[in-house]
Amino acid sequence: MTGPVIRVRLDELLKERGMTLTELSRRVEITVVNLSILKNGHAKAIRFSTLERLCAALGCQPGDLLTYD
Amino acid sequence: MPTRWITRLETLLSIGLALGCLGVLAGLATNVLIAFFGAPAGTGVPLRVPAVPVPGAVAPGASAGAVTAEVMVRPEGAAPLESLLYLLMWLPATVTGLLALFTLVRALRRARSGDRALFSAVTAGHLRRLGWILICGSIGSAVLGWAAEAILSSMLLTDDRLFFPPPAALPGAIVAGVAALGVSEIVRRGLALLEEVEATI
Repeated sequence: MTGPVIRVRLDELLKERGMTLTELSRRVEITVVNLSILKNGHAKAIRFSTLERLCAALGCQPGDLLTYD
Repeated sequence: MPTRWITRLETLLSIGLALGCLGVLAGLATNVLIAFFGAPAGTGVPLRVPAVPVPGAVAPGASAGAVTAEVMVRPEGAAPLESLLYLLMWLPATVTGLLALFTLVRALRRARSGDRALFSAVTAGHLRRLGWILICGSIGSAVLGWAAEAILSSMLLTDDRLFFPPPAALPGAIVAGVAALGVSEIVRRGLALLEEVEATI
């Protein structure tokens, strides 16, 4: 059973900014593996500190990063 | 980092398990001898005799009460029924102990593969099994042992009593079983928390 899910729009934001996952990984100091987990929706939770770093690196708001489907 | 003392404990318990199995074989051999040839010298059926008079054993001004003695009764000649009942007196409890030991050894053996293997759902399963073995096994063996001892007493003793106190190890075994179930639940919940933490980016 799959209900509504919180999705991380990392793919779209990276595409819009022409940035690779490896580059983002270097900027936010989070491993590519962990960013992939986040990108593919396998993470169970996200820290505020991670969200802050991602928003700073991508120049976006937390609301741009997360969507509720 | 694998915990060295746990691996040593596992080795020690494995030796205990092997010795226990040898003890069971020796016990079974004794039972076979009793069944077909009668009890050999030095062996027999241990039975409790309640309310044994102990004249002269107590100092003046003191009195003795509830004296229970254990006598080794040796049936003369082949005694298959007595042997079977004697088997019911000791085998279920011994098998319970060996099964519990075996489960514990299997759980501790995982420490060889590291702490992560030890703190796992498999260990939680082993501990849960250990708990139920101790609880059900000790209660079941106590009931069987009590029934077998009562019947044997009526067959081999003139003063037969039906109401013997339960084995002294019974409450301890039940408490240990409940404790194992509790630890199993702690490990299970700890694992769920660990999964949550690990899946947090």
